[in-house]
Amino acid sequence: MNDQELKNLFKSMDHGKPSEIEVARWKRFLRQEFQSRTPREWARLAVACLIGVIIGATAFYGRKQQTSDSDFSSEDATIEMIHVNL
Amino acid sequence: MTIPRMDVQKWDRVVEEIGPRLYRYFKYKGASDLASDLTQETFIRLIGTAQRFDSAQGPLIAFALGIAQNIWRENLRKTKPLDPLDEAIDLPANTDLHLELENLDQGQKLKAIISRLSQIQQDILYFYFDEEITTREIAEILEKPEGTIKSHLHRAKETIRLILEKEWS
Repeated sequence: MNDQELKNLFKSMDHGKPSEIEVARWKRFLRQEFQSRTPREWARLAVACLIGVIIGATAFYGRKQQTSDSDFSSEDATIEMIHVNL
Repeated sequence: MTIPRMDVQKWDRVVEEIGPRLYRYFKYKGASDLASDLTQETFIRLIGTAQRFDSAQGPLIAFALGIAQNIWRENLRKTKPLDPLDEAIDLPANTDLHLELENLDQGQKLKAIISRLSQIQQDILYFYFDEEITTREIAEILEKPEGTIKSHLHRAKETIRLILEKEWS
């Protein structure tokens, strides 16, 4: 018995096929699945946006704070010292 | 065929094309009453893993059958624990088998022989002969080296040949 004969024998086995009702049931189920997934996708997007805003705001205010701290430069400190010594 | 994202019309076509093939696979594995539910479960997982599908790696049916065989194994685990040596077991030298095969037609005989093979050999035979999937793609589906797949395929074919030829002689 060669491969082709084995293949033909294999193909002759009847595993049955789904009824049209079953195929329609899968389609209907997947539609419901998509409908329930769409709000979930939006919720995920909203959370991602919120995280983005928080990270952006933190970075922005962090940098602003650093800038205001460095406004008091070493030059200002020297002038301050001269004033004190005088 | 690619996996459409959130496009109901296109998904309908995917269901029509691969649904019956997944259903046949589950029937072949012996899930007579569960075949429809397990097919549905496969579609849900397929939606969830759509981004992992790469058409360059093989056809969509091969990807879907990979999910289906995982679902089948999970189902088996729920109903009865899998033998840890399952993948290594070959058809036992069963003296009753020839008595069992008497009065069966060719298809039924083949079914009876296959049902005694290991799960992995059953899968490989189905993917290779029924779905005509290459050994390379089967290796991807079952996450095994191609050499292992070829070796299992060879042993399964030899087992079937030996039994059937003995029957005919």
